Amino acid sequence: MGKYIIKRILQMLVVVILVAVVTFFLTDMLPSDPVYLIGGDELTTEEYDYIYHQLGLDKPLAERFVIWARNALHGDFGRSYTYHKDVWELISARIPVTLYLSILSLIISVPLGVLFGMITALKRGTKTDSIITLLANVCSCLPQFWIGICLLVVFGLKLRLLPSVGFHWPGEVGIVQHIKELIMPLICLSLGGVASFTRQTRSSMLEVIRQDFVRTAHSKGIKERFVTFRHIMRNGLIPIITILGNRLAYMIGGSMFVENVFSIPGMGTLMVKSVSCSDIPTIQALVLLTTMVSCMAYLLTDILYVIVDPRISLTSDSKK
Amino acid sequence: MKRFLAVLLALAMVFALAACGAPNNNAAPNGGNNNNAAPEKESKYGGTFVAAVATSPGCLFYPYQYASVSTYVYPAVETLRLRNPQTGKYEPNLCESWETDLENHTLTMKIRKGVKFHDGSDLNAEVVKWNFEKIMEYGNGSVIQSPTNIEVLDEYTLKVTFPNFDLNQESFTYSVLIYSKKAFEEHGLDWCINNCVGTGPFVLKENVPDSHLLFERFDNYWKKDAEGNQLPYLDAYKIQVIPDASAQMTAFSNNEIHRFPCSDMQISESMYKLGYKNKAQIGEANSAIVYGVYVNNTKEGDPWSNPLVRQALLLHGIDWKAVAFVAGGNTAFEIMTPLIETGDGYDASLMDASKYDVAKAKEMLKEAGYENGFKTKILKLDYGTKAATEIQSQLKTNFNIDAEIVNLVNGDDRRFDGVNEGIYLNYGYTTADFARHLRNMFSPTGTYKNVHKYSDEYVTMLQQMKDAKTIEEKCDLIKKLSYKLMVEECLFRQMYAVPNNIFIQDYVHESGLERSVDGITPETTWLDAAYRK
Amino acid sequence: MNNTSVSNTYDKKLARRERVRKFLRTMFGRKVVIAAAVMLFIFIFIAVFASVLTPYDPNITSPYQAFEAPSSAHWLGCDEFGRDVLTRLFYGARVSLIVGVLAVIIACVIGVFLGLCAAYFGGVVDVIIMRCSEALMSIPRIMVSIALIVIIGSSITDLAIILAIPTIPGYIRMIRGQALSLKNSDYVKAAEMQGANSLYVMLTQILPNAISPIIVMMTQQVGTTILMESGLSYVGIGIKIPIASWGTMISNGKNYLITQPMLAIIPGICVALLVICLNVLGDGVRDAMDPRLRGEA
Repeated sequence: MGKYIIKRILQMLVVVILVAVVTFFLTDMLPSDPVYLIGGDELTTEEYDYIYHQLGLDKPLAERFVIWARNALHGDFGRSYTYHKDVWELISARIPVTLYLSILSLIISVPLGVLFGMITALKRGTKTDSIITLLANVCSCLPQFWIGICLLVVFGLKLRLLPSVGFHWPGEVGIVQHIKELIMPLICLSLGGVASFTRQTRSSMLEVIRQDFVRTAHSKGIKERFVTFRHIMRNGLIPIITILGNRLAYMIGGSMFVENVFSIPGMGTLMVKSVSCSDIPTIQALVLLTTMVSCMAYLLTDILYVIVDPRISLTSDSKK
Repeated sequence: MKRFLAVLLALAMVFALAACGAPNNNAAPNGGNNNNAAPEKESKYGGTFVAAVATSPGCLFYPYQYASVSTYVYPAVETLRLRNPQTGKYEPNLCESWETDLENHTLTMKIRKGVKFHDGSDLNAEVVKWNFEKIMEYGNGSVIQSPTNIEVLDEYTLKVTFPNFDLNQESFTYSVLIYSKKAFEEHGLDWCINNCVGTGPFVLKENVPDSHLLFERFDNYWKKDAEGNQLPYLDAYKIQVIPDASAQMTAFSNNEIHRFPCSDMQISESMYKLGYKNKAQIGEANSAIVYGVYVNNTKEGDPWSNPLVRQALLLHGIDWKAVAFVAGGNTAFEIMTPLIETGDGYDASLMDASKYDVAKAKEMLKEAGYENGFKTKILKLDYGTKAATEIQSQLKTNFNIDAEIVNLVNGDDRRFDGVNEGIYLNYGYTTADFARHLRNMFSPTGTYKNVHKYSDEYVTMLQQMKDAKTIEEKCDLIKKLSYKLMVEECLFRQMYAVPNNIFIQDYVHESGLERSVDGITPETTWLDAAYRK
Repeated sequence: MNNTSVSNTYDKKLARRERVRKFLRTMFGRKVVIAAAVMLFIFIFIAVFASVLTPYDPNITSPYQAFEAPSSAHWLGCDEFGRDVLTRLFYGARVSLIVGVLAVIIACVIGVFLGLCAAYFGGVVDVIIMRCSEALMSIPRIMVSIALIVIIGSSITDLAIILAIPTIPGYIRMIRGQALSLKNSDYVKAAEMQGANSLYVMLTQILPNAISPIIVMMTQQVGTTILMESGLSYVGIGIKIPIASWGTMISNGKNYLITQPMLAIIPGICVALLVICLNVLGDGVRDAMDPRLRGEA
């Protein structure tokens, strides 16, 4: 296991480098001219040349990449073209909020989703199954901003129960206010996840229930509950772990609409703005960051696969 | 069975949401009574005021990028003078008194003594001169009319010399925001873009991009109220960024924010239904937002370089009333002249030149050789989507013109520098300082120089206007110039105006000191005791 | 001699037809699946024949009719530009179906194939495919989409491809996970021992048993893709104005959720219905592909 992890981390480095290179070349294709973005509109030819040289744009692409990579290793990602601030400062100010919300929403949606999924799988065909599956179907189709605005109108405008704007840590405003601010964004973020996990769990549970070994176990007379938990769970978990991996990797970028509706300064807004405004240093840094988070998430899921199903071998030998 | 349930559930949700849509008439606004019942002897001090804005500030340093900076820095940075919107007269602020010498085109200003910046440095003529020089250094000299000479006569007196004779000289430089020179020298440009150190009633404490600006009370503020009390009253002033209009409305009803300008007619109407009133003062500069269309006529061979095409479409071919209606609802109106008259001399008969007549437009297009239409672009910013969609539809239906709508991220987008053909939807003009607009925007050295190609006649007339020695001559030339710009050459047209809706909570008061250009005087604002947090 | 060979091929044809018949019988055995298929057919019919079904042009504005309530002239009322909502819904079906379904099909075909290869062949192939897919998946979806649209453009087919790309790794990982656990099961080993080649084993033995979560994923992705398209037009980039699509209708209607909620709700219901139909059909296909349910095992 240990050797495998080390091998994966090495591969992860390769992936990160690959992604960084591809992004660098891709962002070079964006149509905006960074000199104007930094220097403003009115530039004489000399000023243009000066800034052009300062940004290092007169060097060939490959050399620019090496310089960027070298600085990045020291934690210097450059200055944002749109915010005129150090990129790392910008990102580190926003990441805690986004991570906090994403992790909380995962903590909510995974157990709930799996629970509902199991209920519907075990009670297949009954009314409970129909209603829950229906709700899951509908919820997974609702756009996040839609849910957000509906919640806002109901709880903020009509009932005046919950604050509609902003996000503060418990230290600043007290734990009660903090929780109040969290409720609506969390519901928005988690609803889709719960629905998705429910459906996927149901599907894989049903798969597994039908398989032979379950029948074998039944015929041996083992108590039903025991059969359910150990055998079904183990095998049905694979696709669920996959989705979990996807959602973990998607943690950083997925909250853009919720941030927009509830005015939470997070990573999603930063992402959209940086690409729309061709803010290349920020884009590079963001992509690098998410790559690393994703790779760790996938490593985690691959390890989980093995723990859950011993039939899978980590090294996935060749066919013969 | 499942399907039936599905339909049933869907209908239930539909009704639930429709019920949400029906306004709740019982929710009367909280708050105190009208402003006149001011309790005597009660302390006005304390509380945090929260104003909402829809977009995040890009830059807080006026010399670098002056557009829309004042909307975000006004609690912390002040202007040289104020202008009373009702009388049109200028009032002293940081500049105590001033003299204009029209013969020699100079303006001599006496700077107020004893005013300190937030970082402790003094306000004097040197600092004001430095501010002007910085504005010119970053290429924004047209904002202060590109002075040829700035001289410090003594510690608190400054003499500015302008290049041309201009009857409006008194109005020059009044709205310049004054920043601390010491702060810039200590921290550099990038820091100043994200911070603002001025002489205002509040000090910037926090700038969280895309979230909020938090200002705290400045104890050494120079202004005092009528009774001699130290201003400001508030402890803190917050500018909160709320991008979504529905969220703004909810926050306002929840008393989370105290002021918000509403650009969305639908939301405004919901607010009226909730019992709130529009507090924007009609007749003032910020009472309506005007939108205009600019045409790029610099590309050879492009249809828009032909004045016949421009006239055909902008004057006759597009139904601007419909565009106004789409963009702003019932209260929006078509407009061609600046919104507010101050006798500056623009020609009110401009409107007569523009009559919606599709047949005539088609004739003109045929004459120009574009009977079968052409391909072009409509460049817009975020707020121009509805107008753009309507214009696009009209062009297609009536003239078979395929207009692609291109979204620009910000007005400085380099793509609109003569490279992209087409028309550009942006803000127009509210104030009637049309001479200034003609000089700063619509001249070969103005803001739109890359996009407009002016005829020699126009340029000559423009120079004559600048050199005019009498008011009659000047007004006459302005009339002719505006006619030339908007009718003959047809490079620009005001499209429509949407009355602004500003909602302010009832428990917010102002003492009635002279109002700033934006109509906001943060130093004189105070809240009812019950709402101070 | 000839008789036996002829009868062999004839038997084979019979056997195949019999399999198909069993498949269809199982799939459409439940009434719900039939209803879903009918609904889907209606959607496709509407999408194809939109221009015949309504007299209105979906793009011509009529400002003074904005927000008109439903009437006999406009069954679902008018939107903020006075355009008939029902007409835009019909034309929007075309765009949304193409974008949603095409994107999912592209992603699925590519993803499943690559995932099967990765699982079955293992070793270097596995490593390369998995790391590449991780790389693609690491870059935030929304950034990839915006960047690609800015570079490539946003016509309907362009959008389908652009929206498909970030989802491909999801399929790869899903099918690989499934296939890995099936690789060592008995029937696969049996097929190998019989000398069947890799492709055959992958397609006939592993795929049918690994397909179920993929089908669930596919049906869900149609909805997600349409919503992603809605999100892009909310940011200002998606499908070009004024082309109607359910996604843009939802995104534009968001501004009026308080005053005119129908504008956003109705296309939302359509998306939901489409996804439910596809889900049910997906369930049906999955049931039909399960050998036990077909009655073979």
